[in-house]
Amino acid sequence: MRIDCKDLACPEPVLRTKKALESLGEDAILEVELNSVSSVENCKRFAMNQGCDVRIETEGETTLLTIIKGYPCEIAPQPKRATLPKTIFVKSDRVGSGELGAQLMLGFLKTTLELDALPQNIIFVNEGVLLTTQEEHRAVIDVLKTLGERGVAIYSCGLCMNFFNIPHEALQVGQVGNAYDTMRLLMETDVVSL
Amino acid sequence: MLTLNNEAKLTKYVRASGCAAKLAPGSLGDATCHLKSFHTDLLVGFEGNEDAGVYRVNDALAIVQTVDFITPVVDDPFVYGQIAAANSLSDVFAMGADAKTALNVVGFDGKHHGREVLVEILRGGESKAHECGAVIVGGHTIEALEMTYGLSATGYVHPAKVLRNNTPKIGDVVILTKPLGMGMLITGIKADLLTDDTARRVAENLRTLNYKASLIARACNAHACTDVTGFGFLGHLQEMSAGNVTMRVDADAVPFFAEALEMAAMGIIPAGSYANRDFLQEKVRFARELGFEREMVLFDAQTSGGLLIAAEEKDALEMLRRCGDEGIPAKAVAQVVAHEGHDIIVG
Repeated sequence: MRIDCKDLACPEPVLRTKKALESLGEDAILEVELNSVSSVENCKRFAMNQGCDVRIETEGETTLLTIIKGYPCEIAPQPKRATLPKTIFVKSDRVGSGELGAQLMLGFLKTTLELDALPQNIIFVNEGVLLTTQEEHRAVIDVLKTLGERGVAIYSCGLCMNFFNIPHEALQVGQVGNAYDTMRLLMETDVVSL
Repeated sequence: MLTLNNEAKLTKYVRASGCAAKLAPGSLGDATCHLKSFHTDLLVGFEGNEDAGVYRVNDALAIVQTVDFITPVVDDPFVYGQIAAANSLSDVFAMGADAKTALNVVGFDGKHHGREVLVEILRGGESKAHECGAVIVGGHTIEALEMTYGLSATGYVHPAKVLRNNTPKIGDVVILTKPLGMGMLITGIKADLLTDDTARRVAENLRTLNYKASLIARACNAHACTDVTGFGFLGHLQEMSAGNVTMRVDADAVPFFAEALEMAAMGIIPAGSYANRDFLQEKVRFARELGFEREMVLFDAQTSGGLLIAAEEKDALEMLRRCGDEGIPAKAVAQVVAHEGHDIIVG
């Protein structure tokens, strides 16, 4: 594609270059004809700012900017790590008993963040729902939020929350799960109990 | 809070906005150097690129005369009128004078805009004249392909109290009373790249009169004063140096709109700003690497910019204090030292 931006005042050449670039696919080449020092400088800045390669040739009065549209300049979002067809089933607010049990729960969940492949789901039932609703478990909630951002589905048993008189609005992360979904996930995926 | 009525889209029908449309400094000098105006009572004429001409009426009174008109810098007609008027009146204030009378100078693009737009522009201009005690006594309007508006203004000053632009003294501190970046941001408005909030803050800055800043300069023994317009901060600072002294600029102290850096990075820079950079190439030395964007902010062609005022350090500090009391965001930006090879050194 070739556009003529000669005799145009700023910001017009940049705006036309922007529009033309947006209309082109990846790896396309855009040629922009210009005839003022400022518009050459501005269009070059703009294209480089967009992460494109720019070549400049001058022939007489006209400068030809060749813009090669590469990758967009935004940092690519972190690729989603693969999720395994597994469900972590959490029945208590601790792994084993006592203070150690609470520490282990946080430790295990935190370590999950470092795995190459994450589980598809984490389901909290019984006293497990304390972890997703109570401010004292802030550290666990933060870990779960990060897991959620990376594509892990997090469910907390609604019936269990009712049992402990925890209003559903108190849920800090993920969504309220029901018996049907819970059983379906437990049947369809490999289940790991914590 | 200022709200902008952008319906008239004033900036969309002109090639270049504001002072960015000004003739480049070199080519202007080449043209005006052929004009010779001499008169025993002409105190300030073409020489020295002064902001306005000054003519002595008697030993107690001189008149300051100036004309300035600009293409639209915002889309709101009333606010454009205010900004154009503030920009015109600024030349009177930069000379240390009080604005008294003004004439409207209008090129009206009747093809794209209705009469109500013209009325709003003139009302905006009148509001600013009124704000500083001046009166609009008439004017002249022609049909034009591109909208232009401004004032031919006349002010009074005592012949011995004219503030020149090129008379700073060694040891002086220079203050700047408005933040920079207006050329790029106005171009950003034309390109519809600014948020409403930024456009409002830019318009507010543009329409602010330099009247109070001028009163403060006069009360605090200013040695030199000019307003920052088309030739940019460094261009007008160079005029102040006049090759006699060096201006040591503290780049970190120079106020500017942060959004201007985004515009610069995207190539939204008016041609006038590049022209200023080329013109000053030999005269300015950058003692440290500022990066392209921040350098361009210093060269950026301003419309209705602030005053640059040079005064002894203690007077400069007093000016900053008084500016603070008046809500003027003035900053000390440079120091005047004996000439060191370059007119300006940015550190």
